[in-house]
Amino acid sequence: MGATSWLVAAILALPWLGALVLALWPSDTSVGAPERVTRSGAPTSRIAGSQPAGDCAAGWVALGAAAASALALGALLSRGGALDGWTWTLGGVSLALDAVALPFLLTVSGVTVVSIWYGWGYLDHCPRPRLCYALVLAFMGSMVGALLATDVLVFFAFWEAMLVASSLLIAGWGEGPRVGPVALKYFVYTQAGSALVLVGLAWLVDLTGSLTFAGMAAGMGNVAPQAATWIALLLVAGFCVKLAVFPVHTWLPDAHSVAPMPVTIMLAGAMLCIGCYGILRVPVMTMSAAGLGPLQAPLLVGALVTQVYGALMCFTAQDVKRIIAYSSVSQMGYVLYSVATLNALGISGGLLHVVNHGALKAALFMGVGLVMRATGRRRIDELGDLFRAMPAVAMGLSFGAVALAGMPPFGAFASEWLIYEGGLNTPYPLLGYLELAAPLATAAYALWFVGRVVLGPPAPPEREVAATPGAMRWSFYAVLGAALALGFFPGPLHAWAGRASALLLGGG
Amino acid sequence: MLDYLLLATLVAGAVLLAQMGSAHRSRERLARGLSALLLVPAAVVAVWPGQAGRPWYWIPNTPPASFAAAPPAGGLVLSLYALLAVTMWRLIARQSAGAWPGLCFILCALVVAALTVDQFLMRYAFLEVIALLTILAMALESPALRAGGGLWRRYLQFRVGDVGLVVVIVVLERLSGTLRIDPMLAALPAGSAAQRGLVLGGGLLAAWVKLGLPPFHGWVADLAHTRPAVRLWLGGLSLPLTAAYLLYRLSPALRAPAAAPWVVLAGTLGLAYSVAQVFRVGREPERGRAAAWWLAIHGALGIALSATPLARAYLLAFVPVRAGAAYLLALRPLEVAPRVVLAVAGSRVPGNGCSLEDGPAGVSTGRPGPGLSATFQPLLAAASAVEELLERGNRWAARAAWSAGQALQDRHRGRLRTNLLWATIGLLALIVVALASNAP
Amino acid sequence: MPDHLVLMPMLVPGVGAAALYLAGRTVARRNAQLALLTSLVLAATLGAALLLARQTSLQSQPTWAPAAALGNPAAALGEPAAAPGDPAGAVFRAEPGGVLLIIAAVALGMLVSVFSATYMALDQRYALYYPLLLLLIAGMAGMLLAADIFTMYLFTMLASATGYVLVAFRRLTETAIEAGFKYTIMGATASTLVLVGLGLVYRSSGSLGIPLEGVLVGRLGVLGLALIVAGYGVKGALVPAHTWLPDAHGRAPSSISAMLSGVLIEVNLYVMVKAALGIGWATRSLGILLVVVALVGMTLGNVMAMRQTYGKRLLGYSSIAQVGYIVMALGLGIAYQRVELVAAGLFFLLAHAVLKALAFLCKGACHFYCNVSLVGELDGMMQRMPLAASGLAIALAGLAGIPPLVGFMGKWKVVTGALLELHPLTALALVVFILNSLLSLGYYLPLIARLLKPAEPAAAQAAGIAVPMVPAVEGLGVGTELSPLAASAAAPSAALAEPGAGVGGQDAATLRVATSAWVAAPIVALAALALLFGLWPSLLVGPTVEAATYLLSLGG
Repeated sequence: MGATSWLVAAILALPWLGALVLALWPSDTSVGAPERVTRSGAPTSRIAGSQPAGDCAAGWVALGAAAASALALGALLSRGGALDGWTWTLGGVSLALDAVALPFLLTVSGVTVVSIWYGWGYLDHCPRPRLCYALVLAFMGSMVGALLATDVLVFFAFWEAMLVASSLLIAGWGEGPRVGPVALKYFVYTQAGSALVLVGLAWLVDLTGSLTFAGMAAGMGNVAPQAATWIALLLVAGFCVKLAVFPVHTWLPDAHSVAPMPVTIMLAGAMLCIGCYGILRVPVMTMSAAGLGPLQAPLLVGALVTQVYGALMCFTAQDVKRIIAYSSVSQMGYVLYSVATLNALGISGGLLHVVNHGALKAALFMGVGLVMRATGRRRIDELGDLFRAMPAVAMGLSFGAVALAGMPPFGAFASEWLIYEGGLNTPYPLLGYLELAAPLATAAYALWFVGRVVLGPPAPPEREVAATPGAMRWSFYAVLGAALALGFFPGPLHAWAGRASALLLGGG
Repeated sequence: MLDYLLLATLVAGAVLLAQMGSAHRSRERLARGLSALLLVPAAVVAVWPGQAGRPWYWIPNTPPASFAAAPPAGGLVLSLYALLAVTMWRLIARQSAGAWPGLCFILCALVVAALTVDQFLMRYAFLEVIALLTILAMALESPALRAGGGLWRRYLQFRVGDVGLVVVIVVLERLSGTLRIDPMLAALPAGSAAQRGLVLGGGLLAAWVKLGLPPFHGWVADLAHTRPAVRLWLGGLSLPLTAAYLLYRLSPALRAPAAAPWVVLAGTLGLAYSVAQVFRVGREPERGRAAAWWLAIHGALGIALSATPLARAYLLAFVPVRAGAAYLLALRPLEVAPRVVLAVAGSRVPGNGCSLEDGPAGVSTGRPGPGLSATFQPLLAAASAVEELLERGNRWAARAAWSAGQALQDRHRGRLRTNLLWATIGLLALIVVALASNAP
Repeated sequence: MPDHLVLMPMLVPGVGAAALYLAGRTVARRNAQLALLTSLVLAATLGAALLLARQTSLQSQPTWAPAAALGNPAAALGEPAAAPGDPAGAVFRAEPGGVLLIIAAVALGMLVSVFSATYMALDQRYALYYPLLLLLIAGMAGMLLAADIFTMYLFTMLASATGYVLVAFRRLTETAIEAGFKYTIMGATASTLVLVGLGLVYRSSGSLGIPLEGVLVGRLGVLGLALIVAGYGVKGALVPAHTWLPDAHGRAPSSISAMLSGVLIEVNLYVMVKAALGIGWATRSLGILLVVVALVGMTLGNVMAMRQTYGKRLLGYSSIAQVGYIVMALGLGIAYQRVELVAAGLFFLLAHAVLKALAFLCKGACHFYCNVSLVGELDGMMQRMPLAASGLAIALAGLAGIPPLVGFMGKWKVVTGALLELHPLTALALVVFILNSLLSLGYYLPLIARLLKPAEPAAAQAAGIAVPMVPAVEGLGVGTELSPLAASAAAPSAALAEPGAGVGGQDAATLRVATSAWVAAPIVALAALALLFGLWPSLLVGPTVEAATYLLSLGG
C-alpha cells in the first residue's frame, strides 16, 4: 500500500480527525474545572458564553483540517498517473477515488474550506463555536465519505451522517423563529428520499448478491430488466429528493434560509450535488445508462420544469437568502437534466456544472451574507442601491449572479453549453430545444436580483452600512476569483469530466 | 498581428481603467488620445491581407479559434479604430471622462474580436461580454438608468437574442460537426427545411434584438441618457454592428427563395412600425428618445435588405450611417425632422405623450422591485399557488400524524377500564382468527 | 448423561436471589454491595449461558430430563417411564434462539444491576429489589429453556409475578401502583388464558411438548392454541393488548423499564412464536396474522408516541412500534419460510434490546440527577449531563435507524430480507414499515434536538415544560395542556428523587452534573455495543441465523 492510497484515506480521515479534536476539546465549563469568573463577576460557569481565544483556535483547527484534506486531494492529483484506481483498503473496508467522484470531491473540499474561512467572520458571535465547527467538519467528512465509498453500506452510512450533521447544524445554530420545524422538515424529507434509496439498494444487493458497487455491476446479469427499471426508479426518486427536484424541493428554501450562512453555503454548494453523484454512481454506472432509458423522458421534463419553476419562485420570494435558495432549485434542474441526457457531452457538462455551481453559489450566498451583515436587513424591498454603499461587494454579487446565468468567461458558460449539446443529442430533441430557452429564466431572476439589490433605488429608510469582518470579504473575493479561474482554465476539469463520462457510460 | 492588436487594445483599456481618476485630466486625455491614435496604424498593419492568426484554445473539445480579418471585416476593423481615435480626441474632450475611455477600448477590442474570430462559440462568448459591457457602461454613465432598475430587463432582452444565436450555433454544429464559422455556414444548405428554418429564425431573432428593433428597442431609447460618444459606440458600433455582420454572413441563406419573402416581409413590417412610431413620438418632449425609432428604421432596413444582394452595401455603409446619426444627435437637429416627415406625409398623428416603454407598465404593487411586467404576473401567481399547494400538502401530512396522535391520546388515557376493554376485544379477535385459520 | 448445565441459567440466579435476600437482611445492607453481588451472580450466570451456547447447535440440543436426573419421579405417579436420554421426557431443552435471548437477558441484567448501584440509592428496599431482579431473569431463562408448554407457563408466572412487583416497586407513588395494578390484572388474565389453553391442547393431543409429539385434534385443541397465543400476545404487548405497556414501562424504575422493554416482552413474543409453531399452527396463517398485528401495532405506537409529554411513556410507545417491526419481520419470515427474515427479526430484537435499554438507562440517569421526567425538561441536557444525553441521543438515533448504529442494520436486514419475497403482502408490509420509520422521526428527532439545545435557566425552563415537542409544521397548536396522566407523572419525580448529586438552586438548570461511574459504565457499554453491532453486524449473524433455522424447523 503506497503513499497514494494513504492519501486517499487522509482525505477522509482529516476532517473527521478535526471534528473529533474539536468535539473533545477540553471544555473549561465543567464542574470539576476551576470556575471562571465572568465579566459580570458571578462565579457561575455559563456554558453558552463564548470564549474568544478558544473560538479563534477552533476556527484555525477547523480550517486546518479542511484545508489539509483539500491539500491531500491536491497532492493526490499532482502525483498524476492514472486518474482512477486510487484505492485504500483496510480490513473489509475500502475507499476509492475515481474520476466520477473527483469533481464532487473538489467541490466539497473547496466549498468547505471557503465556508469555514467565511465562518470565521460570520460565526464570530455564535454560541458553542467548537461544536459548530466540529459538526461542519463532520458534515464535510461525511460528504467525502459518501464520495469515496465503494460499498453500499458505507455509502449509505455516510449519506445519513451527512444528513444528521447538517440537520444538527440547522437545529442548533439556525436563525429565525422556525428553526425546529425547519430542521425536522429537512430531516424527514431527506429521510424519505433515503428510505427509497435504501429500498432500491437493498433490492439491488439481493438480486446481485454483492455489497460493493463493482460487485453489483458485475452481477447485473442476474437482474431482470423490469426489476432493474423499478430499482432505478426507486433510486432516482430517492436521490432526487436530495437534489431538490420539483415537487420534492420544498425542504430546500426553508433549510437554506434558516441555516447559518456557512452551513447554507455547504448545503447549496456541495451537498445538493451529492444527490447527482448518487444517481451517477448507482443507476447510471453500477447498473447501466441504457437501463434508465424508460425514465429518460420523465427525467428530462422534470428537470426542465424544475429549472423554470425554481426561477419563477425566485421572483416571489421576499428574503434574499430564499431567492438564492430557489436559484439552487433551478440550478439542480440543470444538473438533473445533464444526467438525464445519458450521453457523454451532457454528463461531462453536468459534472463541470457541479463544480462551477459550487463556486458561484458559494459566492452568491457569501455576498448575500455580507449584505445582510452590513445592512442588517434581508428583505429584498428593504435593500437597494448597494452599488453606492458597498461597491466591491455589490460588483462581486452582480458578477456572481450574471455568471450563474451562463455569462462567459465564467465557467458556467462552458458547462451549460455542454449541457445544451447533450440535450440535443437525446432521443427527444424537442426537449433539447426547450432547454435552450431555460437560461433565459435564470438570466431573468439573476438580473432582476442584481437590478433590484445592486442598482435599484435606495431603500426607503436610509441607513449606514456596518463594517463587515475581513474574513467574510476576502473569502468572498477568493471564491469569485476561483470561479473566474475555472472559466479561464477549464482544461484539467474538462479532461476529468470527459474521463468520468467515459467511465459512467461504460466506455472507460 | 491581429492578436497583438487586440491584446494591445485590451491592455490599453485596462491601464486606462486602472489610472482612472488618478492622473490629471489633460494628461489623461493625452494618454488615451495618443494610444488610440497609435492603434490606428497598428490596425492597418494587422488587417493587411495574407496573415494567418495563431490558434487559441479555450474550452477543451472545441476547435481552436484564430483571428483573421476577411475583406469586409477588415474594413470594419479599420473604421472602428479610426472612430476610436476620433471619439477619444473629440467628443468627450471637454467632459470628465470617468470609466468610459477604458471601457471603450475594451469594447472596441471585443467588437473587433467578435468580427474577426473564426469560431462560433468564441464569437458568442464575445457577444455576451459585449452585451454585458453595454449594460455596465449605461449603468455607469447615467444614475437615472441605474436607479430606474430597468437595465436588467434590457440585458434580458439581449439574452433573448442570444437564445436565437445559440440555436443557430447548435443546429449548425450538428449539421457540420465543427464550430468553425465558415464550414458551419457552408453546411447550411445541406440541412433539412426545419433546420434551415431554425437557423434563419434564430439568426433573425438575434439580429432583431441587437439592432434594437421593436419590441426590443428599449435599450436604444435608454441611450438617450448617455453622452454622445457613448451613444455612438453603444448604439452604433458595438452590438448593432455585430448584428449587421451576422446578417451579412447569413445573407446567402436568407436569399434562398423559400426564405427571402419572409425576411423582407419581416423587415418591412419592422420598418413600417418604426416609421409609425416616429410619427407618434414626434411631439415627445424628450427628443433624444425618439432617436431610437430612427435607428430602428435603419435596422429594419438592414433586415429587409439582408435578403437581397444589397446586404454587403448595407454593411459597408453601416458604420458611416450610424456615426453620422450619432453626430446629428449630438447636434440635436431632430426636433425638425419629424415635422419635415409629417409635412411630406401630409398627415398629422397626434403624439399622446406616452412613454416609449410601450407594453404593460411595470407592476410594483405587492411585489418587490419594479419592472415585473404584467404578463409575468399570472405566471408568478401560478407558481406561487403550486408552491403553496405543496406546502399545504406537507402541512396536511404532518398535521394528520399529529392530530391522529392527539385523537388517540384523548381516547386512550390509560384508564384501566378502557384498557381491559381493548384487551378483551383483542383477545377475542385473536381467538376468532386462530379458529378461523386453523379450522380442521 | 443428563446435562446439568442446562439448569444453570435458572438455578444460579434463583439460588442467588435467595442468598441475596438473606445477605441484604443481614450482612450486606448497602445498596452498592448488593448491586455488586447481583452483578457477580449474573456474571456467573452469563458464564454458564455462554458455555451452554457453545454446546448448543441445531444438531445437538442439551436437554435435562428429571427421569434421567432424579431417577424417574414420573414413574412414581404412574406414568409410563421415558427411556434415559429420550427427549420426550425432557423438561428443559437448550435451543439456539433461547440461549441467545438468555445471554441477552443476563447481560442486560448485569448492566442494570451495576446501574442500580447508584440509581436505586434513594430507595430503601434493596434486599427486595435485587432478588426480584434475579428472579425475573431466572423466570425468563426458564421460559426460554422450557421443553414443554407447562414448564414454560410456570416460569412465565415467575417472570410475570416478579415483573408486577417490580413495576410497582416504588409503592409510595400512586401512579406506580396504578400501573402495577393494571399490569397485574392484564397479565393475570393472560396467564389464565394460557393455562386454559394448554389444558385444552393437552386434552386434544395428549402432549404438551414443543414440538408437540401428538397431533392437535378437534376444535377445542385449536381454541387452546389460540388462547395460548393470545395470552402470550398480551404479555408481549401486541396490539390491541398493548395498553398496559406504556403505563408499566413509564412508571417502573428506569432500570426495570430497561429490563421489561429490552427483553421481557421480546422473550414473551419469542416463546409465543415458538409455542405456536411447535404446537402446529399453519405457518402461512400464523405469519399473516403476525404481520397484520405488527403493522397496526407499529403505526399505533408511532402515532401515539408523537404526542407524549412524559419521556418514559414515549419510550414505551416507541417499544410498541419497535415490537411491531420485530414481529413484522418474524411474521413475514414465518409466512414465507425465509430464514433471512426471521433472522432479521431476531437481529432487530437484539438491537432493540440494546438500544431501548440504553434509552431507559439514560433517561433514568437524567431523572435521577436532574429530576427530568417530562420531554420538555430535556432541553439542554447535553450540557448538563453530556454522557447521559449523548447516550440517549445515540439510542434514539439508533431506534430511528440511522447508520452506523445497530438499529440501521436491523432495518437494512429487514428490507433486504423482505425484498427477497416479492408478494403483495411483503410489498405492503415494506411500505408501511418505511412510512412508519419516517413517522417515528417525528418524535425521535425533536427529542434529540431538545437534548442539544442550549440550556436555559431554570425559570425559563419551567415555563417551557408545558410545551410538548415542537410540531412539524408551523401553525399547529403548540401549547397543548398536559394530559391528566402526564400531570400526575410529575409527582414521583418530585416526591422521590430529591436532588441527587450537584443540583442546587435556580442556576442548577445550566450547571453540569457529574455522573457516578456506576451509572456511566452501563451507558458507555451499551452505547459501545450499539456501535459495535452496527459496524460489525456479522457478530450476530451466525447466532440469529441458527436460531431462525431452528424456529422455522419447528413449523415443519
